[in-house]
Amino acid sequence: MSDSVHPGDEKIQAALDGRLETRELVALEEHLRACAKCRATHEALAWVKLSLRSSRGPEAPGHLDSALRRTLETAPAATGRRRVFIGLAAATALAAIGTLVHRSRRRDLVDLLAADFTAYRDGALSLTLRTGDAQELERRFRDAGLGFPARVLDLAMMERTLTGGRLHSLAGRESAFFAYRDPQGRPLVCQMFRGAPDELPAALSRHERSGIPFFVHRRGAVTVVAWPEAGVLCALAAEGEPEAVLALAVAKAMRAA
Amino acid sequence: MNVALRALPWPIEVCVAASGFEETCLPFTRALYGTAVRLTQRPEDASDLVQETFLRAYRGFARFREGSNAKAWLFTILHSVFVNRYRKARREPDRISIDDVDERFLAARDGHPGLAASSAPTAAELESALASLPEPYRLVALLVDVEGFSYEEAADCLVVPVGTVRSRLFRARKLLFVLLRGGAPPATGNG
Repeated sequence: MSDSVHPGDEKIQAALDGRLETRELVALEEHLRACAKCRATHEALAWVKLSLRSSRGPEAPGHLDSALRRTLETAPAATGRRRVFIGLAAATALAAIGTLVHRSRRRDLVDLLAADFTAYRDGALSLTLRTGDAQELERRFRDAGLGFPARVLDLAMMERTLTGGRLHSLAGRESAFFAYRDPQGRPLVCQMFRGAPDELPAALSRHERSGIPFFVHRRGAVTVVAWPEAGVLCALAAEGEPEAVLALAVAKAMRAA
Repeated sequence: MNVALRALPWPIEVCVAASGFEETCLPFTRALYGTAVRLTQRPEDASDLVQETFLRAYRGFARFREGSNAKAWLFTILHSVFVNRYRKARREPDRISIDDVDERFLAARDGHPGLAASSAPTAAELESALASLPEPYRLVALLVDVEGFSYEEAADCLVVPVGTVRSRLFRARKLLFVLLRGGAPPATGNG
């Protein structure tokens, strides 16, 4: 594509949205290097896209959550499903939801991260995205509508095998929840969610590696290590010594950086 | 709230069908509310819109297929509720014209060389510009650029062809650039 044949704004937009074949993209990039006007169009459209993508948008009011729950509590039945007598199972499921709601209003983020680890360890929290392939899991998080890119790393070098993930809710915010197992079958859970370190409670200790702060917490036998990573908070939870969990957290953070 | 201690509020089959509802759907509350505010321009309407969306999603959750795109499903419901309940009730005239957007974009673009190094718009500037976009263009920008939907997902949500999403998005971005960096655009003639 010579600099005298302009590609058209539609092609520039397609490139911005990742909808060009590699061959077309290479040709467009070559043209943009030579053509100041098309380069300016590309920059302008990219600036708008980035501005929108990075906007946080209006915060949901605090009363919306309780209003939602009231609405759902009084929701009239509207289903054609055949009635089955499994009231006990339904009551159990509702009790679990109710307990979760109750806890989420009283517990801090680290409490919730530790509770999620325990729930997963005990089989009360299942993985809905079953794969041992890190890239496949990233893609499935994206396809499931996760609002930020989740970096799922292969920790085979640290003797941890990826077992899968789930699109999760942590204190009302979406979370990429994924789990590993060590050679003895013990779980390691990672969660990534929107947040900042100042939302965490006081840490047991703080460490810094390559400019990244790591906050170490303990809840009973569970160690939770949290750190900021690419605009989100990342947290590892596992049973065992804090130093071992911290080492895994540093390994993940360094490979993601 | 200990739900187990009282009578079940819904028929049994609804309770069972909805047992994964909270963890599947509630993570998107913030995204739905943000879009609802930007559509309705009124926080109280946005809260109602989100509640109605969740209510309909809850009723239809038995038909939701696990592993499919819950966020796209919820936004499709949100759009449907918005169209049927709010847009018909009080559709406001467009604040600005979409005519001549290409010419205005070129003028704004050429007035801002070296844009890449310039600062991002403030939140207030961005909200004001979004509010000024005619609704069909605003919707596409919200779905694709803010929420990260693909053209195909946005087309399914809005029940329009993919080509319509592409062209609306193109004009929305150009018009936003004009609004944010090109000075005041001409007002629409019918507003």
